[in-house]
Amino acid sequence: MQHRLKAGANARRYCAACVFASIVVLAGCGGGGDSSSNDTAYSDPVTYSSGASASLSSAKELSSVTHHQVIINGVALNYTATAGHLTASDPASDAAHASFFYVAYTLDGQAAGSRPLTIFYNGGPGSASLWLHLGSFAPVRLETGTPSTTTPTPYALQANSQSLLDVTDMVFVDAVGTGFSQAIAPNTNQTFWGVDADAVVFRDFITRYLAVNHREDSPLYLFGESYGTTRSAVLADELEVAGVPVTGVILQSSVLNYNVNCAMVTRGRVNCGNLLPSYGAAGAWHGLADPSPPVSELPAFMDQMRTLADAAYTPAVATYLATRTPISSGLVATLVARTGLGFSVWQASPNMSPLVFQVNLVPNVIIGLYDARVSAPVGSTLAQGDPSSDYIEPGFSLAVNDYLANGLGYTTPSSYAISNDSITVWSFRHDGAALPDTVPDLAAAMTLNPSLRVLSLNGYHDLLTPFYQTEHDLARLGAQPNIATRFYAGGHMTYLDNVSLAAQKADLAQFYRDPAVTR
Amino acid sequence: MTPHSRLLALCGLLLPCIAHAASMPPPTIAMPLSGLRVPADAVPATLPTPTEGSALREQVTQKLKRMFEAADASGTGRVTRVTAKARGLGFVDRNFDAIDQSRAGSVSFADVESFLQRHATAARDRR
Repeated sequence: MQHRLKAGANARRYCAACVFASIVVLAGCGGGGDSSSNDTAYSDPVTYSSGASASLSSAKELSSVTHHQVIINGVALNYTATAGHLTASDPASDAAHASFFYVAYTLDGQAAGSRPLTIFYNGGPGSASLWLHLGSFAPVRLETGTPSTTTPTPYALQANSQSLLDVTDMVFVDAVGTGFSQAIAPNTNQTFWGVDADAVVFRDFITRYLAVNHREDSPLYLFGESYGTTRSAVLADELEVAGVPVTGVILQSSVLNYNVNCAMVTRGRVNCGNLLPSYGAAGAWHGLADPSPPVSELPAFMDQMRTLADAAYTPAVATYLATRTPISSGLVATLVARTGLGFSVWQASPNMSPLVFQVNLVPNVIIGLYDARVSAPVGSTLAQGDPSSDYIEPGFSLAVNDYLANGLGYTTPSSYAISNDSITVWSFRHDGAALPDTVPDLAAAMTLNPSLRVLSLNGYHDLLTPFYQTEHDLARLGAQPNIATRFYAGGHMTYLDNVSLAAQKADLAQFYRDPAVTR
Repeated sequence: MTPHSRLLALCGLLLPCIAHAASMPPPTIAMPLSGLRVPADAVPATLPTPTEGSALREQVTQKLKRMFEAADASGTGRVTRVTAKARGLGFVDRNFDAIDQSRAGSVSFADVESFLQRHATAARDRR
């Protein structure tokens, strides 16, 4: 179905367009006969900026509209893709606040209120949403070969047989100052670079999308990744307070409480105990744990590691942080056996930071924080940053313009801002604390709407937002039949792995279809 | 068919559509994904301990109370349906009759809390 074109650098952009165009033909784009004659391209004349002080003087709500088809579970589904901008406005004064770039995928021939509608966004903060857009559940998806880092670019953009289009309409939206989303004067992009301001302006984008598209009766879902989960908790509460019920919140690789995340905050300040199961998964993957169970037997091993963390390691670290009492050599020996990380490394860093773990687990190799299965030799290009996040940047970067212009008919003179540096000035303050703890926000949303269901999706090999920390964060809410947690092989972006993608699709389809969440 | 949609239709037939893509400047990456961690100067001297149980429930109550009070422009502690709708308390507007059990025409935060308790019990009983 796909073909790889091996060509030089200059031809790559052409090749990607041809690859996409051929996929589109083979998948029967416009296959409902001549629906492509209803396609409307949009050549947006506006130049968007991701700078902190940038603002648009005004914004229009215009978009391209194209028609396509994708085959899911053997069924050909005709859908409409809409790429463009909608304005988030103040609900009281109607003042325009920000112009959001979004791409929406809606199944054709459906009653507007009947289908679920899911809003997708990545995190950062400061990341555009192209990772979820082109890597997860849209009708098209880039094949990255994850966890391999050597898949040649351009990546093939394939018809996505694991797309969620069969169960929900989808809107992928870029945060202000990313993609082609920008603040409207007198606001600047930086106006919205804060936990609360960002959630509120997302709320206003969503209410605008619902109003323009008559989707107020559609079950509304939020699908956020990483900082996007922080956003989702605050946003769910903002929507509920505003009278917009949220049916479900899907949390991909969560950081619900920055105050307890060992990778996100300064080394040494936070107890890293809840990373231990992830360390075990990493050690097993690299064949260094004793024993190293295969992925199929990982769940049982992870249960042992959860117990080891709660019963032994986390308390020992707490004692160490308080009193500098070293961890017992007996416990260290157990940690060595369970993770494969060397005795001297554990002794030197009892409160084991993922930054120390990633450079010491495998000799002369750096493993990824985003995905500990991914590694790069010390001194290689990928080892300059995090090999498990940087390896996908060239391929996604190459794909964006081709897909927007040639697949979706949307062009602009602007550079698509895959990321900005807003994290350096982001206002993390929330509810009187310097760093956000958004578990109370999620709890508030669930208090206002007791029917709200949560699905937490986690990668075993994610050292950035470790799964056992997420379990602990959600456990603060007490026994909650409305919260389910799922785990997959893989890191932060579990969906990049084709095997995990299929498993996630199955779990998500059940979440959307069943009235009661299965724990 | 407009020139643009004709181009798009032709794109679907494998003719090179590079004109549009080629004219768009390449995407920018200001911060690699691997750089996306909290700056040290945003981390406070003391990190709060996570709440749970009654302490968490109290946080939730205070949070909802703050949102209610932000909409209470009059400072009377009560909001009418109209005020609720105008000042962003759509939740109160949508559920006003159920919250305003005494038919006072305005509701206090205590009325909202009471409604939430009834709501939670009903939802629990439905499971």
